[in-house]
Order: sequence, then C-alpha cells, then structure tokens
Amino acid sequence: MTKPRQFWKGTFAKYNYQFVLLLFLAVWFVVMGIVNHSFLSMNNIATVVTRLSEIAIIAMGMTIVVIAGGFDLSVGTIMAMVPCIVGLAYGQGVPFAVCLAFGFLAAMAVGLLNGVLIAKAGFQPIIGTLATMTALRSLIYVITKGKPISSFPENYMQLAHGKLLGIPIPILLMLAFAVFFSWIMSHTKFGRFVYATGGNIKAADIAGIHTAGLTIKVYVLSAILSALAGILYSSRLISASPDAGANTSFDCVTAVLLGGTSIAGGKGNIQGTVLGIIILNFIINGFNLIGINAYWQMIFKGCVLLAAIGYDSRRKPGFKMVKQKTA
Amino acid sequence: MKKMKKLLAILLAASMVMMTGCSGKQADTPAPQPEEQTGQEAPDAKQGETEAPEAGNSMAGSKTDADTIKIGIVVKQAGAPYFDYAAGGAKKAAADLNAEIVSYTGPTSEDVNQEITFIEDLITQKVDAILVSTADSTAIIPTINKAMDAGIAVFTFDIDAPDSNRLFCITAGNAEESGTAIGESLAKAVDGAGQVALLTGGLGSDTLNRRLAAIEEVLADYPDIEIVATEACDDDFEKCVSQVENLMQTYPELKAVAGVSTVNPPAAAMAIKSAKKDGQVISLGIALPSQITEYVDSGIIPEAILWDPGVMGYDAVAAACDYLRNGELPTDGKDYGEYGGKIVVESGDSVAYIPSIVFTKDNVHDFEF
Repeated sequence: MTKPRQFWKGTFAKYNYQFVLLLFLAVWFVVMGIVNHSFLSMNNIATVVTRLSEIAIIAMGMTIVVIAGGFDLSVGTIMAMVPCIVGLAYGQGVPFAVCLAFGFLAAMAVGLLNGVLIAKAGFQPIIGTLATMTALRSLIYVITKGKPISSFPENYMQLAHGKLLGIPIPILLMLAFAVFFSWIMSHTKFGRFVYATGGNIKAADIAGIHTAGLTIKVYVLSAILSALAGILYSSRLISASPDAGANTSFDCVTAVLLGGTSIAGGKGNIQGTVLGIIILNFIINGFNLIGINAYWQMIFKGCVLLAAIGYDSRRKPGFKMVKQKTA
Repeated sequence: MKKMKKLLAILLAASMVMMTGCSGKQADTPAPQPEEQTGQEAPDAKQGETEAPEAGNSMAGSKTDADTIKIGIVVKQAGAPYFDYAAGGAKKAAADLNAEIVSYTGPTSEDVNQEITFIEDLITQKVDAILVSTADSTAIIPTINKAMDAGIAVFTFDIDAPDSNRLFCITAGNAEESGTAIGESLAKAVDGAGQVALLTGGLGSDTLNRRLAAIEEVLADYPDIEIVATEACDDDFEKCVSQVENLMQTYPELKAVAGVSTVNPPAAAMAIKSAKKDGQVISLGIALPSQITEYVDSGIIPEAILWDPGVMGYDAVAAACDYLRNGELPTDGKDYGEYGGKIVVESGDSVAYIPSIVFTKDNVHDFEF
C-alpha cells in the first residue's frame, strides 16, 4: 500500500473497483462483528492478518507475473521446497546462513527455469510452471523421503512468532513488501516495462523492451518471494513439510484476480491483491467462527474466482480501471 | 492466447468448485511459543490415579455438571467416513454428557496448515476443549500449545502429537501392537516367503510410521519375504488404487499388500479385483468393515483390523468432559460406559487405547461403520 493519502485519493479517483472491495470488507466487518463477538477482537484480527502474510507475499510475486502476462503454478511447491532444503542442510551441520543461501539459490534456479521455459522455449506459462511444479514436488519427496524436517536453529521460530513494536514480524514484512513492490510497479522503469510486456508483448518488443529477459526476471522474483514465504511458514511451524503449499497457487490467483488484476495481463496492482487476500481470509475466518464447514468455504472460493474472472472479461477494452502504465 | 488463458483460468475456477481439495488459508500462530509450563505438561497417569490439577492448569475441574461443555473437533480430513463415524460417536457422548460439539471440521484434503487455521479460530471462539486428529504431528505442535495456553483442554485422538502439550491422546490400535498384528497376518498369508508391498496414508504421520516400522520389524524375521515398496497415498483413495495397480505391473510376483491407513486395504482390493488378480494378490491391514465387506467375502481381504472410530470419538469427548469437570485424565481400565467401553492406558503413558477388533468373513457383517 502506498502512502495513506495517496492510497485513499487514488481509491476514490481511479480505483473504483477496489473501493467496492473495501466497502465490501467494511460491511463484512460490521455484519460479522454483530454476529460473532470474537470476530472484531484484536486477537482475532492479529491472528488472521499474521496468517495471511505468507500468502500475501507470494501473491505479490504472482501479481507481477500475471501483470507481465504470465502465470505461476509453482509458487506453492517452491514454498515447500526451500525450507526442506534449508532444514536438511542445517541438519547436516552446515552454517545456517549458508543453508539459507542454498534455499534461495535453489528457488532462483527454479524461477530461472520457469522463465526460460516460457520466454525462450515458448511454453504456455500454465504448462511450463505446471511441469516444474510437478517435477519439483516429486523431488521434494525424494530428498525428504516424504517426512517433515524439523532441524532448525533454536531461535528460528522468532521470525514468525516474534514481534517488533508490538506487531508480529510477518505482518511488518508483508507491509514492507507491499509498499516496496507498489512503488516498484508504479515508479520504476521495471514496473512500467512489466505493464507494457503484459499489455502487448509485440508492441513492447518493438518499443525495444527486452521482453524475454523481463519475463525471466519476473519468474525469478516470484520464486524468491515464494522462498521467503516458505521460510516464514517453516519458522511458524518449526517444521518443513513436504506437503506444504499444495493449494497456494490457487489461493494466490483467486486473490490476485479478486484484487482487480487482469488475467490477460497488463492491468492490476499490488494493493488490490493485498486487499483480495485480506477479504478472502476474513471471510473464511468469519465462516469458521460461525461454524460453516470447509466444503462451503471451497465452493465459496470457487465462486469468488469465477465472479472475478467474469468481471475481468466483461471490462471493455477502452475502459481501463487501473491505469498504471502512465503512473 | 489471452483467450486460452482466460479459458484455463475458468477451468481452474471450476475445478476449485468441484474439487474438494482446495485449501484456503495460511494459518498462523502469532503468539510466542509457550515457555516451559509447570503443571501444563501432560499430567502423569503413572500412579493409575491422576493427581489433582496443579497450578497453572486452571481448566481442570473448572466446570460443573450443569455447565454445557463446548467442544470443537478438528480432523485431518473432513468427510472421510472414518472421521464421520468418530464424530457420530462424539455427538452421542455430547448428548449423554451435557456437552455440545460446536464444530466438526477439517481440511477437505490433508493439509496441516488448514487444520491450524481451524484450531486458531476455535481458540478465538473460546471453546472449552478441542479434539484434534493431526495430519502432521510436528507442525501442529505450536498451535496445540497455543490452545493449551489459552486455557483450552486439547486432546488428540486417532493420530497423536506426542511432543506437544496436549493433555492426552485417545487412540486405537496401539501403533506397535496393530502393526505387529498386521505383520504377523501378512507373514502367515504369504507363507513366510515372497514379495509384499506396504501402503500408508501419509508419511508425515507418526502413528502410521510406527505402525509401518512394527510391520517391518515382524517381517525382518522372515528372510524370504521381500518388501518391494512402501507407497504413501496421502489418504487419497484413487491415488492408492493406481499405486497398487502400478505395483502389480512392476512386480508381477507380488503376493500381498498391507495398508496401515483405512484407505489402503479397500483401494488395494479394488485394484486387485480390477486387474483380475484375485487369488494371486491379497490385501490386508487397517480397514473399515463397511468398506471391505465384499472383498472379505470374496477372499481378497482375508482379514482386517480395526476399532470402532465411534467409540474413539465417544471416549475422547468423555475424557475431555471428565477432565474439565473432575480434573481427571484417563487411567487404565477407565470405563466410559456401555458404548465407550474400557480403555487401556500403558503405565506412565499419556495415551489411551480403545480395544481393536479383527474382522474376518465371520463377523464383518456385524458392524455398521
């Protein structure tokens, strides 16, 4: 999120779709606050926001990938892989900083592979990342023998469980990343090139943007953010599970689209995605508190995704809700 | 290309609606890990008589008979028949003991992260007790401890998380005992020689792993029995079927498969039947009678072992109520009434076992679950 004033001004002036989302969230808070007294407690809000920070960080990377005209199914697998590598290496007595470096390098390698498959070899993003996702998941099972890894330094859990100025560290990290990537996307050449590439890759090529290189960078970035989320995840559970993140890519895409980013690329922003994540998680949290079972929650999520895509495809070409290219 | 992407996205969305397997949330435990808790640690049942609640354990005996005890149940896979029976038993106990099952929920496919979310939201709801069957005995620990710190009595059932602060585990088929039983019937069924394969639900489960280890230990005494593979299907029936089909393809000499999760034997039997290998390959292990009746009758499953999951659910609720009202944890021989039966607690352990049942052709029809 950008500076509050800009954010609000922007919301009213340009981002009327996101304004509707905010309004919806407000209504949901009021309704749930009346229905269930625990919902508005600080404790509940802090719990929900903390647990959504991991997926929000991944979804930021996903947003950039989708804006660039891509799609990344491998995020959940990378999120599972990195802590497994870190934990396994640490269990072998490797210094922790080196373990972390291993983990992030491995994630970057997967991102690079995704990028090369899509930008150079010409695979459809969904197919290319589906391939890496599938192969990688099996690789994780091979290296971990399918068992959770729990060899981590003693104070490792402080990362996810610790607080700074009374705010849980994952929330701070998420906010910092949100501000940083909003800025990147709206105020840097890289950001503008991402919008341009996703909007019309041929035009971007003709305009002299090195779109292949840009695509690769975007996938590497997504992989790095997934790796970071994986570190937070394992720090929270003090355990690296080879099964982690099985549905993460679906959840991320739902939030990205709900936040107003176009599946066709070229349109969207980070704030919308964070808002989408917040809405989805508080809805599910509300469902849990009033005892609506898991099946209905899944059906609800599927409907949200359909509605968001339906809305996206209905937007007329000339009517650009999120004019970020000129920002 | 854009059109294609849109189409794919819509397909994804549709699959989310249909698939039961999409988890939602990133769960979390923001609270710091509990410090060493005096008196919070699984209170000992060593003397066969639980001591009065200690300091810091204010929930023990905090309720009277007049208080309705609110209980939340979180299972590793909602909708699995096994857990539905357990929940049925739990509801029966709730009716008998003035308790209320405020929620019975769980991920639609095994996902510890989602389980954590459910538990956290139960903490927010301020239930009196939580009964958990975990998908990952390690990853669940901080969350169980967080619930205990919040003054909620946490009992594990079916699958334990022994290293957490949970009060007690109500389970069945002591992992070693049931594993040994499966191992022995497996050795008997193949006459002490030949290729066999083992099947499990998920490799992250401590109980299932111990059960597997017990089978392997029995088979170690039979040098002519070769364990060709151990497959984990994540409690996914279809996946187990195809794993067994692949096993039979790869190892034409395979004589038997033994499963340690209830999904395995019926799935294996289905694979055997559809490959027309009845009589050549048999399926054994932990199974629900209602799911295996036809295979037991046709001889593909000569025998299977289980307990009544309903009794497990009943006893877990009874144990929670007993703890909250009287401050007592389960002890060996504790009688939970006509339906609940008598539990077994091994000396010095905080795990209670309900009795196992062996199903054969003769009695498989006698059980409803």
